[in-house]
Amino acid sequence: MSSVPVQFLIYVLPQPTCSNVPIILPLTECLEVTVGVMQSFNLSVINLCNPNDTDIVDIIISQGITGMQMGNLTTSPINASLVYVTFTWTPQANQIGQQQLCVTAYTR
Amino acid sequence: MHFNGGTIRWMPVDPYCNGSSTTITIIQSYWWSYPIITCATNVPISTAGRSSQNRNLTCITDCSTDGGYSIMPVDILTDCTSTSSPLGMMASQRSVNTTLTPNAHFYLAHVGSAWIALNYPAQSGLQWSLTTFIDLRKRSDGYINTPPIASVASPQYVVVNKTTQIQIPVSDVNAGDDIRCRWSIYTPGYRRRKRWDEDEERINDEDDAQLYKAAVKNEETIHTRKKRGKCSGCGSVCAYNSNCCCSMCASTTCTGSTCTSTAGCPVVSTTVETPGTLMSTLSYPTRQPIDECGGICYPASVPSGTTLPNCTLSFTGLQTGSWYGIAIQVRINSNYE
Repeated sequence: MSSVPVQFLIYVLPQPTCSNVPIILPLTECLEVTVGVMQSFNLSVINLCNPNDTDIVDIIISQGITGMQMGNLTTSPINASLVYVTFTWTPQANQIGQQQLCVTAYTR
Repeated sequence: MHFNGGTIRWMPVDPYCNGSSTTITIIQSYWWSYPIITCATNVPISTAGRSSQNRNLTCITDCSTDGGYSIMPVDILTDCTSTSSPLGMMASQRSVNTTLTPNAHFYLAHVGSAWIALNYPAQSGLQWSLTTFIDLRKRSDGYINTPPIASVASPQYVVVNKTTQIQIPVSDVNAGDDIRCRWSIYTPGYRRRKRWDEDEERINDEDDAQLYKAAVKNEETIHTRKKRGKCSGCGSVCAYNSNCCCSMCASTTCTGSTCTSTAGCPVVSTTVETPGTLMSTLSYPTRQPIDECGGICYPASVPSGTTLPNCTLSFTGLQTGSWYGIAIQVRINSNYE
């Protein structure tokens, strides 16, 4: 039976100042999009630590969708604990069906 | 090497294909340290000083049924897709089509060296082997199965002394496929009249079936491991202090190009398989080993207590500052076999 390999590294960090994990919004959501129509949506991350000690350092796409672009990480001007990225994508005909996007938010 | 892992997957261009040849797309996705590796096309040879680091994905087992892959092999180059400067991470990917004869089935591997020093106490020089099994034989319901997609960003971070769950995101285009994850393993090969047991370390290199004949020069640079042909005088084991076989040594007691274990270093694999030789006591033909994990095979590669239930890795790091390598295979538990 066919099998595919997944190999990755793990690094062990010391105890952080704050161990609250951030929250990614939307947690799970299925967006309906149409072929040929450009889509734009925001993905937000809420920092549950004191932003003076700990920040959201970046968002990494672990499984992307072909053609989808991610903008720069932006801090909300009204809430220092909220950051977001903007995704833009024009779906193609060969992408009809379900497409999955997976991201990881990193704090430091 | 600043290679941080990744995945190799493939899919048939047309799963219902019935012609005299089958085209598949092989998609390689890798993670790198950034900006040490340059974000450009043709990763990693587009990074200064790495122009000799290209190689091919090679068939390691069942090559007599490779559907013609060896005639037009695919190389390991990919193109940068994204970077994160704050995290020092870079992702790359490339899709390549290749056409094979129907019903081909073989093991394809990206083998190289070396990982960053891993484990505790840290070991350097560990090689990687990412192996995918390509199987074009049709399922009993009439079409070629498309393997699942799995993708994990690398590196992952855990906090010391805290059990962390790392989920392996998996998905599959064939509705109803039951996706399973297991540890990548090293399956020893076997040959005529002897079942080669990985636990038995033989230093005697005289054998009934001398499969390894011609000596091949071992050209190995410090950071690039090149697969070489058959060795002479090595048999199934690299003798202590031997050179030629040790480019394929699985054990970490093999340093550079020399086997440093007085008990010998087991040979990982060779190149082209000898087809059709039947064993006298067993009914299997001669078969090469299948190395899915290189130098990061479970359980020695991870702290004890690490588990992998339901495609979620449960890991507890006990040493701050240490690195670990995780090698997993994702497959389908299919009713259609």
